[in-house]
Amino acid sequence: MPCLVIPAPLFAQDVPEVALAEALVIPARTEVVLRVDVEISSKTAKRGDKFPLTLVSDIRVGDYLLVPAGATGEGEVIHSVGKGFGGSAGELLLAARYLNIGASKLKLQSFKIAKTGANNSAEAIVATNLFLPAGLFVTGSSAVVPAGQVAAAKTAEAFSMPANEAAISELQPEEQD
Amino acid sequence: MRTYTITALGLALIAAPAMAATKGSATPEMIAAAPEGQGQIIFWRSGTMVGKAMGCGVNIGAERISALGAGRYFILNTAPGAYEFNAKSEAKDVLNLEVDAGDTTYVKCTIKMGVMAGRPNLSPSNAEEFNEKRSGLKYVDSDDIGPKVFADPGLIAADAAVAE
Repeated sequence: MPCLVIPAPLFAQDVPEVALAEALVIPARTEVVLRVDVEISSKTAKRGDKFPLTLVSDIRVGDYLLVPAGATGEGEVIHSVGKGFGGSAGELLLAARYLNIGASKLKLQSFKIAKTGANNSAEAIVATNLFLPAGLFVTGSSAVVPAGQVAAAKTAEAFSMPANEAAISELQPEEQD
Repeated sequence: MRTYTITALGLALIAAPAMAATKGSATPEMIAAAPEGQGQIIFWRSGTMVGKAMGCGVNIGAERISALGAGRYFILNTAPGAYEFNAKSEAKDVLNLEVDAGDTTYVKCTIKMGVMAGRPNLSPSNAEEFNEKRSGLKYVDSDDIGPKVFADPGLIAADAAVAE
């Protein structure tokens, strides 16, 4: 993972120790933007299935970049129901579990991907009115989260960057014209 | 005869938006966030004709939380964690949810076709979908407000107005 690491002695000259210690902590409920790396369908997914996630935008605290975009993590399927007879739609609920920060895991919550396929109950009822058993064979559609779907999550707790893993770069102020 | 038909159609078109406006609350009450450390789930059911006569009982295990008639909603504030909600008729539908502190989760109930009777179905929803239907929804009746269900926001607002 490419990132700029400023040597500790250089930091010591520029940044007070207290400020640096604070900068090394990612507060709880910090928003992170994640990408689902594989397609997930209610047709095949089961509750408890794991799937890969990637951090889309850097996690920054103050002027410091703590976790660069590209960090990988894992999510979990917490609810999956396939499409069914009677026009019922497939359902999917996904949760983000963690991002890998070196050997540590940054726990996540509040992932908001909930998908429901097309519900064809009304069509099933129409079919039933035409021919009684027909409605049972009208199905809805599967819920699908495409690979590349992006959604926000939040950090579940305050996370202290492990000192030996901290990849902190001091952001350069934007150049003035 | 043709003139009467066109006039009647015109009157119906003019009257339709007004009727829609009076159907639900024009300015729905604000829904207060869950108390600190808790999460919120909003269960709702649209007022469609499909399965209108059927109730949609919402349970956690065997414990009844509330029941949604057509065009109703209710609020459940609860501790963070994993929950398994279910709705039962001739078949049991299960929805697994994870509630996070400070978050609001939306669940809708629809009635799908069954062999002998309609089957309530709980499925994931979202704020956009709920807000789109909100003006046509009413809070569940008082006899459907169990000990865990949040009080009617409309009554809370009315009580606050009286107190002022």
